[in-house]
Amino acid sequence: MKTIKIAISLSFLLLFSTSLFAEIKAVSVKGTVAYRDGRNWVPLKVNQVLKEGSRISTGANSSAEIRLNRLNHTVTVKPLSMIQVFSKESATSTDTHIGLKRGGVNARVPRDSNVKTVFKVSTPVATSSVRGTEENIGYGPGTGMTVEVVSGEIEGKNRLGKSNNISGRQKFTQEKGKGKPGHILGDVKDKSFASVYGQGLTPDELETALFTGTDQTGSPDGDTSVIDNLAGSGGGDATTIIEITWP
Amino acid sequence: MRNYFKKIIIPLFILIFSAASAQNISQLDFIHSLDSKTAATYGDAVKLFAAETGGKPDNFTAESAFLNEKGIALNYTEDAPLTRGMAALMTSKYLNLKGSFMYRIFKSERYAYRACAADSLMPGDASELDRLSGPELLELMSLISDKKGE
Repeated sequence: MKTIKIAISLSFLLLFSTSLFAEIKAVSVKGTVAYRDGRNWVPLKVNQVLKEGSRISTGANSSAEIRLNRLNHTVTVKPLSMIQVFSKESATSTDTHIGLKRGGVNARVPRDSNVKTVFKVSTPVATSSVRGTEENIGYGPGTGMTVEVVSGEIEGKNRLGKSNNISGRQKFTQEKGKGKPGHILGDVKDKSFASVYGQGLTPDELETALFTGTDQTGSPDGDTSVIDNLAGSGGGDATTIIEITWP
Repeated sequence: MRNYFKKIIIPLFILIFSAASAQNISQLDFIHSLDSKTAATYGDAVKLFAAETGGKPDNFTAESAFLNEKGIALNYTEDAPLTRGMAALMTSKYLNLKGSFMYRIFKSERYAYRACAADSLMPGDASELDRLSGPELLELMSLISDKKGE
């Protein structure tokens, strides 16, 4: 009887301990990378297993790839970055929190429908939550937090609880001291090849409208009337072919 | 022979290994102390740019000479306060930025800052005369590193 009791206790202990700790392991290391051990910074080596709550710091031209659990959730720490890693897992769930003090990380979180996944990256101004995706996250005092989605979808939430769900070419940005995140398409707008003003006017159309005092796009030969004709009087969907002529 | 190996070769290996580790950690110590500095200096920028461009020198004179060869160094003293314009000019030279027509003509700190702002490396609502803090310099170097890796 005593043996059974000990065996059951040990089984519970083992089960409990595996549900608490995930193996945090350095998969690759390039250049100057160290982790904090007590009060000292110690060079990080490949295949080194790190404790829960470990801090990792990278130098110039340096990076490290860290595997966070058995589901191959990994994070690549970019140059001049400092992070702190917390990772727990059980048979049915994983719970990973990364604190990004400065610099940037690339996080890859493969989806497993049988495992409940919590994967969060926090900076001093906001937090991103990931499920089945890849993202690039950066933080600095000037730009604040930026999250670019490589694949999948994420939620970015600032300290005041204001959040954005982003995917594709959208970008989550949260500057320090600002109440709400920046526009999710701000980056695309900045990089677009044509400027568009209110009511869909291009700069040339806007200039013409200001010069003549009328909106030429509303004329019978204007852009909007073309679409109106295609859609028909009752409205509905219309297909239009646009030829872009480069200057 | 065995004695010779024990007395000379092994200590030599240990010495070389520990010196290399110490050098690595000293770069991180510098970065960690820079992270809490309220005002960065030209010397700080020189050290980081030298490391970014793959240089191994460990003092200001050698690092300046190294950056001079690469066409990145400026004519300032080590302890000169680092302005946004100084950092922008070093950045523009290193990345060969072409975002500002005026920078391509004048190659000045003022227009280098505009070129950096056009490339989202610096905020557009600042001035080239602003002094950079340590964390701001580290942030700039991270963005440079990202851009270089594109």
